[in-house]
Amino acid sequence: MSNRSHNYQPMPGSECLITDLGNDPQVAQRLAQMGVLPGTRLRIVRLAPLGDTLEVAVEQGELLALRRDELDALGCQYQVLPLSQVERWGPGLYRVLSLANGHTFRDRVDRHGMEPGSILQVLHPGQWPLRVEMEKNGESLILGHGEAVKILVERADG
Amino acid sequence: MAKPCVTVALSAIPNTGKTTLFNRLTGENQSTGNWPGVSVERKIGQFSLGEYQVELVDLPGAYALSPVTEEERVVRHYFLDDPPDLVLNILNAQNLYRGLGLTLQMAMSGLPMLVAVNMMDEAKARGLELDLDILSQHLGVPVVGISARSGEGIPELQEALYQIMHHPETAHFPHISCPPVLEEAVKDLVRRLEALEEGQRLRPDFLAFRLLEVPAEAPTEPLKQQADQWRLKIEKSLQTSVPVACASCRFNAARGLVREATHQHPPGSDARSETLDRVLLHRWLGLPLFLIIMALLFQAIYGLGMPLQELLAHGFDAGGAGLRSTLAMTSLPDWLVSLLLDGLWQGVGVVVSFFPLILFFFVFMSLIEDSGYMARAAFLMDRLMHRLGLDGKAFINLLLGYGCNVPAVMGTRILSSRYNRIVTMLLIPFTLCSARLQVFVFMTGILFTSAMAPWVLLVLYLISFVVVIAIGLLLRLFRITGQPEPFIMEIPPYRLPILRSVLLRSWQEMKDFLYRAATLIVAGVLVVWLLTHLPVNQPVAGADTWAGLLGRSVSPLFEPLGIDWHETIALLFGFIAKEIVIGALAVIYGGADLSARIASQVTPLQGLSFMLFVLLYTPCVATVAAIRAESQSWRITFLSLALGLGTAWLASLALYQGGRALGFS
Repeated sequence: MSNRSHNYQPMPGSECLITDLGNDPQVAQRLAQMGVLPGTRLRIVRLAPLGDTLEVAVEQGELLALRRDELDALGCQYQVLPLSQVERWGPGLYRVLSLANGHTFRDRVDRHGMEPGSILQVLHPGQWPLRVEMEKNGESLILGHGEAVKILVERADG
Repeated sequence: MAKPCVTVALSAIPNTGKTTLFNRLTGENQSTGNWPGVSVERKIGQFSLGEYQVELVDLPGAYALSPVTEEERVVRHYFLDDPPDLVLNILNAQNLYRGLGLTLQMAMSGLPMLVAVNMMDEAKARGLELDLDILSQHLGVPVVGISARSGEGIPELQEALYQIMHHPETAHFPHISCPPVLEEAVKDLVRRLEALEEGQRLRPDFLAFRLLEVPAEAPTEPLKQQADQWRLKIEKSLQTSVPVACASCRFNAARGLVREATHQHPPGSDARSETLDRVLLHRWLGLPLFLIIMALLFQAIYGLGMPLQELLAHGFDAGGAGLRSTLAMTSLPDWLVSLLLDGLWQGVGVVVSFFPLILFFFVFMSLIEDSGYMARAAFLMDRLMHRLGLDGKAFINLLLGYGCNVPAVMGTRILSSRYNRIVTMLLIPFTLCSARLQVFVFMTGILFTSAMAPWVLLVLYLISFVVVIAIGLLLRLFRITGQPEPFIMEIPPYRLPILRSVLLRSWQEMKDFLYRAATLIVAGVLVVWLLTHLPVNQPVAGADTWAGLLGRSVSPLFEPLGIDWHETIALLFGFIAKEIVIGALAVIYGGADLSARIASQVTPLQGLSFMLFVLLYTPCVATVAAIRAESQSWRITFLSLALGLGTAWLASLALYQGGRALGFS
């Protein structure tokens, strides 16, 4: 449990590239036998209602269920994260990949011209509310945590 | 002249439609059992093909021959110890990549092999074009496209099988490139293996790979040491374990092969399943829907099964009474009539009365499983069950135990690992089944006011939940039943179940129950008859019968629980079936007005203690027989008996002594 606090709650939509199958030989062997090997891309589809169990999609679109401990034990290089977790990457430029549904939320981001493909600059990730600047029009936006969760981004600065 | 017999092993990773193809090829000519000594189901079917009589062995679903699970160990040993004449491997057309890992491993064995690419119709519907010729060229074995569900391609599959049986020597085998250190190790071990034994049907490099995975299985000590050294060297140089390194090579080959064989990029996941999952696995709706589905499942099985079970039981009673008055019986001595009717006939009656429950249980469980919902249920319930070291599927088995323990124990074969199966079958006996409920309804009605009685029943249910959890934690803590396997489960797309498969399965399960559990059940009933009827000329279950002597000799053990020797005999009868406890009390107390007798002789606290004991000790001989049949282990069977009796004794003791200390009587 001690290192749990450093781990982020996995969020639906996040994508990661497996770099290492982890230290549990049984888990590593099981994943390897299913063709999930270093270099495989995982997308978190959803969390179980009671938490702790995750549904992930592997490259070809097949679905697997695994536990959070097992995911945490893997070496994962995140490629896509919700804006609420970019603290893991630090300050920088981010490209919006998708925006979740929700009327108020969509109205608000539309008004600022945010859409998939927009580039955002985040100077102080981890500080709430989160301040982002739209590169295209220079507008800045203050986002609550509940809103940041709905914006999936990837790194846009190399 | 007898037809030449050919053994064909049907192998595939899970979710490839293996069972559907098995049913398609063999029809009703199949029998189920267990692989020797393990809790893994073994199915064998027969069909004839030209001049050949084919024995089709359905291997358990395995991802590889390097074992992680008990199923994989079974498949591995089957291949190494008793290789089949021919391997029929199935791939899922929509997910060639994952299946090819096993296919490549098996193709390297050098055994004649045929690959069936299943679900071609579904793949086509999703716009996936496959080039099976390319697949065949690279694998070195013939490849046929089929749809086991619709029957498309089955004649071609049979023709191809026939051709291989006719010309088994034409098998080729693929070569997979591995890191140099691994290839070097294989080359060295091949040399040593070739020097050691000849006439092996399996290719030496196939054996060398198996040796590297598990050096302990080497035929000689020097070979074992050599393999161990290589394993260490490989692990050091590649920084990964041998099975993972080998899987990497195989899947690299598989990835290339899939790219060549699929002309298009594989399409995304199935839209219908995604839509359904958005509702069925929804954060807020998922659990309520799950509970509704479980309630329906419970009602469907027991609502339909219980009345039929009672009907059959009454039928048997009536039949027994009818037989008793026949001329043949009246001419026999009384003890023989009693042995035949109260012993044997009743034992057979117990066996038969379970048929409807088992039938409905497997019909509805198969529907849930084949539709793909079972994996979802496991996903939804996983966190709760994980605490007990179980995975989510076990929840359904435990829940269904609350109807009847026997089919619930048989249903553990659906679970995905030995650990899950064993722990679940040890926990199911603590669920309050409907037979025990009958006893409790009867006794609470006598001992408590009508306002109190329902609360007592509720408390008994709560105790049952608590004990299931407590024993689960205990088993996990002491690891009596081995190590849990990692929980990584495929979530298959939703599919419409095939009625034929469902019915065939349920029919098999009923036959299986008859073959494997019936003897033990009848034997158990006969033992109870002997105890309660011998020596002859004693009143049934009287003080001087063996049961009476037994009851009185263990009375020092039961006195602290507030259970006197009369009731101990009733508990003995309860071993046949819990419903019998009430009837047994009537016989033992020998009175017409049983309720009044019990009310006058048993205090509420003693009654509670008795009910608690009934709740927790061994449910019935049929459950014991089912546990023995499913676990294939007397150790587990006795562990279950001991756990039940021990828990019951301790709980009743605590209740009775605690109650007395608090001033109840």
